[in-house]
Amino acid sequence: MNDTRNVLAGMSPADAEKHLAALLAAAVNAIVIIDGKGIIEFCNPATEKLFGYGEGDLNGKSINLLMPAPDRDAHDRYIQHYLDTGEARIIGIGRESVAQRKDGSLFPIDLSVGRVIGDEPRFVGIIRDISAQKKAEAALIQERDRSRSYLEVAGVMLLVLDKGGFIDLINRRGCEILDRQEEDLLGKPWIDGFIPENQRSEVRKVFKHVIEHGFEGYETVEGLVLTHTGGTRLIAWQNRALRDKNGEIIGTLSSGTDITDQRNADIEAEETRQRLAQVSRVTLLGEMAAGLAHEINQPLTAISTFAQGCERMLEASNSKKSDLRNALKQISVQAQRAAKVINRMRNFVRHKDSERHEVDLKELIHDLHVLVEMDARRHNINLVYELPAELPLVMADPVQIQQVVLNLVRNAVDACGECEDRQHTIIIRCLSPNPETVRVEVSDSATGVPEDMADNLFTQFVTSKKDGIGLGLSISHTIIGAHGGTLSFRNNDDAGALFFFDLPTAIEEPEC
Amino acid sequence: MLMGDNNRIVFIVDDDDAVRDSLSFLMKSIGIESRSFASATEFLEFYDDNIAGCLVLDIRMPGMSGLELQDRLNEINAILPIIFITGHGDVPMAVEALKKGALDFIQKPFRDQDLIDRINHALDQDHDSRNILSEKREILDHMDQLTNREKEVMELVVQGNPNKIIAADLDVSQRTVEIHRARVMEKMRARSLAQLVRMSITANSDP
Repeated sequence: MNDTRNVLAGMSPADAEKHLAALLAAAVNAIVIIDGKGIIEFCNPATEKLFGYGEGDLNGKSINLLMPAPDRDAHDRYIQHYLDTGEARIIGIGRESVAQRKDGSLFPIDLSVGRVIGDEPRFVGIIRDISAQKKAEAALIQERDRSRSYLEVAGVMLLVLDKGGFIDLINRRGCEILDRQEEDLLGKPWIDGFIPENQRSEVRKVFKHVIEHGFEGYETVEGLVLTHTGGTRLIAWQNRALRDKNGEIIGTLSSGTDITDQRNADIEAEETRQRLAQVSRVTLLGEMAAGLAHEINQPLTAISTFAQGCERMLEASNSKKSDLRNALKQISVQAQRAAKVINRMRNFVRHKDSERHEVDLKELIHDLHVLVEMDARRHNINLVYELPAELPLVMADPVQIQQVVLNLVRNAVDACGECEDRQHTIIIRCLSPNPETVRVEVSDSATGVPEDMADNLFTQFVTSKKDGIGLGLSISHTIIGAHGGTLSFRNNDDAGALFFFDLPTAIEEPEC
Repeated sequence: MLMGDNNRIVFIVDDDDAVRDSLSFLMKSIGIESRSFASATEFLEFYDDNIAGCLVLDIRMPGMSGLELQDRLNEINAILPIIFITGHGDVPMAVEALKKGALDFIQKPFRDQDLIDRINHALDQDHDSRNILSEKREILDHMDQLTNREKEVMELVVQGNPNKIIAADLDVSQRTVEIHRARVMEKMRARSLAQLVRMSITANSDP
């Protein structure tokens, strides 16, 4: 483009003035020329339009007219100061300021000022209305502040990491959880700084995956973070990739919920449940004490009788070696039999942490036989087992499942014991209705569950037994629930009740 | 005294194999013949009241219990004395069994001597019962041979009535009473009035 001055210089003064007038008239911005006293010598039509004046109204007026206090009162001094010292505060620099229209309203402007070269001091000002721009900026700031406040009030921890894993943003909740100031966090490497060492490689793997593959799902990942004091909190994270407008991944956004307290409460609840289950097992055995005493008394009686028989045979010296040997063998077998009963009891009540592994339910039931059988025998109840040869394994705590079965059988025995008008039968059945489920059923031939009890049978302290405390079924229900199964019942068509529970079969690990 | 007496058998009924085997082993050690049964039903199938001995019976058993077996034996007026074997909590049941005529009960586990004493006592009792029973059967056999008139005379005689009263009661002569009376003493094989009275008591005793 040609240099304007050169273009104008090559013209006749009349032509140059015409050109200049055309330029000034076409300019969108206001252009004002003032003298050394601040009097407007010239302004273009845009100026009059912008400030709300009529054509020629501003000529000869003070420039102060166009500005609000305090600039209005100080402007003369600004000019004088410049003229006295030559120190430019605005000339050649430009700045944002505020202007006043004829009607008194104010608006933001961008002002640039130049000195017109000549003997007399004379200045040219170009004024651009920046209302729209300011408004947009204000809106942006408001939007930013609002987003910020959303982040701040969010109950979850929000964390933005850049591609390198450095902290780009962390909200107030995040700072609270980590017990640190925001400025101590921003720009720091997240994984090396705030993840416990033994979990870093795992977290790094997740981060890498998100950065590389742009994981967009909502899968929750649990992990520990390090707090300022060196403690840890357990956070449930959801991670997403952050993309720029071209779709390129520029970092990760993670929202984390502090589930430390919740998890502790869960653990505590589980411990309480286990203690309760153990108490209930002891109670169960207590109820069965008479039967258990009998069950131990049987082998003791046999042992004692065999031993005394041996003694007599030896004294009478008419003993056959084979008789004595047989008796001694019986003695040891019976001692083991008694020990087995005691072992079963001890295993049953021993308090230990819940231990789940793959178990065969029919073996569990078979192991219970000693405890169950004498109970049924005492009440002259016919005990029938229907166990298939093959049954899928389930993932379970064997003692707890045995507790449930024993509890159901005890209930059945008690129910039968309350109507001794006929010979009763209890059927313990195992089956697998489908490949995902193994079912255990305990069916009796008593009077069934009374209708008014049916709805809250699994509630604690609800019982139909004369001396029951109503814990057994509620604990059994909880135990089966904790195993991902269900415990239910229905009354048989002919007589008695059928209690049954389903457990999911253990998922077969693919062989590596 | 009773050792080696082959005519007596101790019957053992207990569903617990080990207890049953140990009891028969103990019997063997003292030379008493025994026979074991795993259930009351098995025993009933075998049982013959003519076999002397006693019954050692577990009070709790699946199927027919010891008490039920006792009821069945009572129904058929079996002589066999019963010794119940009970557990710790079974005393109320044992008392009921005693009321129904069981000889004794013993709690598990027991001293062998206690059981042997009871068994010997039971065998003695069985022996006595059977003697009384055979005597009674003999008396009843003899009584069957009496005519109705002779039975009437015997009845009045054992009540202690003199011939004169009996003659008046039956509206016959004293001489006729004397003849009937002689026939009664002869048919009953009674040597004295006292013996005839005892026979009458025995005949009317139960069972």
